[in-house]
Amino acid sequence: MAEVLKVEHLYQSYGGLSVLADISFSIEAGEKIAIIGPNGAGKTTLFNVLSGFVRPLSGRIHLLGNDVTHMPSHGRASLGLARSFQINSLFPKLPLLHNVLLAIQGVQPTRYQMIRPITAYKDNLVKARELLELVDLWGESESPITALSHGQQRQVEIILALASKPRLLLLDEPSAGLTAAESVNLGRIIRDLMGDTTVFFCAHDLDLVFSLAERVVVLYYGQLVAQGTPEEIQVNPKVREIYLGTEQHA
Amino acid sequence: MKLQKEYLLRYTPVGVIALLLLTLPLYADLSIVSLITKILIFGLLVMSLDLLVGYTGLMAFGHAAFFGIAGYTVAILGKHYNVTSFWLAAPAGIFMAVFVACIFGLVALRVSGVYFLLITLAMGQLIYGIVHTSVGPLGALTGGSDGLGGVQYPEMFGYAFEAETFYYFSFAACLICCFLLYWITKSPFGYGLQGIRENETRARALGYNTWLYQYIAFVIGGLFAGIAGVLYIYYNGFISPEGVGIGASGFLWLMLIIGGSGTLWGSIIGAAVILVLQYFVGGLTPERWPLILGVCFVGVIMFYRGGILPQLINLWRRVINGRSA
Repeated sequence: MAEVLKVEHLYQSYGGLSVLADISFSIEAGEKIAIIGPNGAGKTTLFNVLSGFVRPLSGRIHLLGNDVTHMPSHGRASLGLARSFQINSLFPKLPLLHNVLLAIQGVQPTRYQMIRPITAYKDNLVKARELLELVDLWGESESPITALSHGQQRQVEIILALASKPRLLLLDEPSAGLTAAESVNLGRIIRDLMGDTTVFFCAHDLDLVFSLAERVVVLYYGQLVAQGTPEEIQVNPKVREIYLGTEQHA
Repeated sequence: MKLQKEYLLRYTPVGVIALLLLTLPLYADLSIVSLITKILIFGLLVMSLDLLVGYTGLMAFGHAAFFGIAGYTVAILGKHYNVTSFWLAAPAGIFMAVFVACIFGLVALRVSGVYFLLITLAMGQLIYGIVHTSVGPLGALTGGSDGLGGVQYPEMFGYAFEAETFYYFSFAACLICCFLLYWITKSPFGYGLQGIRENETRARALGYNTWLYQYIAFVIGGLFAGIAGVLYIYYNGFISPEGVGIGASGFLWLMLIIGGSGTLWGSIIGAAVILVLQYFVGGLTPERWPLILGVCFVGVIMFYRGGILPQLINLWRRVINGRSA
């Protein structure tokens, strides 16, 4: 299988605080990998480094065979990387439909086009409709984002990341702020939508992690402490210690 | 059929205004025709600012500079180089505005937010400083604080424009530019700009080169400001540093906010409100004029925060619905 992402010896720190320390791993095409770890483990920082929003202190990132360590975010998106955000990051005043259209055309050359209206691109319109129908939001397509509930906005967050048909999808806490029922529903939606897309996601919700992931990576204070199948991780003594504490501490 | 009728009803005010404008010289005297010409030109100028402020979220505060550069270029070519041909001078003026916008954009877009505002303000004042210099060869070229005059209405295909016909020319030019700007805002590029205004981080994550988008928008803003500047110098025949500096740029912001930023057509309403007030009130009490302007501004900010245009649209919608209900 082809390697979609390869990370070598990544370091990052904020001031004196080391957030990522010697992170190395790789992701093969089609894999669904979860990254877990307590608050402050460095999960979001890792996502920001991978998607080009934060430059690592050292280390290399290879995306689909290209060295993207110094490439800006939009360049990585053009190569096929897409991400969602832990805190809803949408275009609040624009209609839902135009949010999705913007996401679809973000990697198309027509994004610079100034003469035809955005709605004249029928293929994109069809794609947008398909995506919105999958989450039952086509009826809201003319509403601004601010008119949607938080749960619906979380779904749109995923839709926008998937709209460009990415080769590698990073989902940062897809179920943040959702109720347990909404979270289960979102997990089903992600499973339906992702198909054979390579997915790298982080979540606090371990039910979501163990239901979606084929491999789990554990991050603890900036270090990769364990990786393996969900079953292996569940019984890993080190992971149990991180999540439950040792007997002395308890 | 019902849908068509509603559609017609909704756009009735637009039709009425278009008709009034088209037949204006038939019933209005020359000073009013001249006032409306000025409103159209400033409307276009404010629209070009709205593309930056309302659509892209760029707080550009030196926008009058591009307007002034285009005007000065035409005036300098006419006065010192005897280039009076419209076909040479007008493109030269627009080219200079775009050229300077290309350079200023490179510098200003290194920063964002309030720093962008300060840098564009400084660059506007730089142009003001250049045209305000009264001494040396520069002073001889620009006329310093006296400004430059003597620009006649243009001549095309052997036809020399007069006040009324130049009104039609400006009307057509502004209409075309307004529709071009409108198209841009509805295009993939235009929505890209609005996406950047709403959420630059997400736009970058989706693949948008946000710097390039903002830069292109800045240059397009300079282009249309340049077109307005060329129209203005032919209309006014005279340009002085007052039309270039911080006062002029502030004036444009006032028009934009009063009309409604992010609405494009609101720019013309804002220009109309301020210039009509200036014409009537400024004529009555020139020394009280800034006071009255200030009161209007505060009034709009307090009671019509989105600007006048959205309020007018709401009002008209209520009128239609009241009738059909």
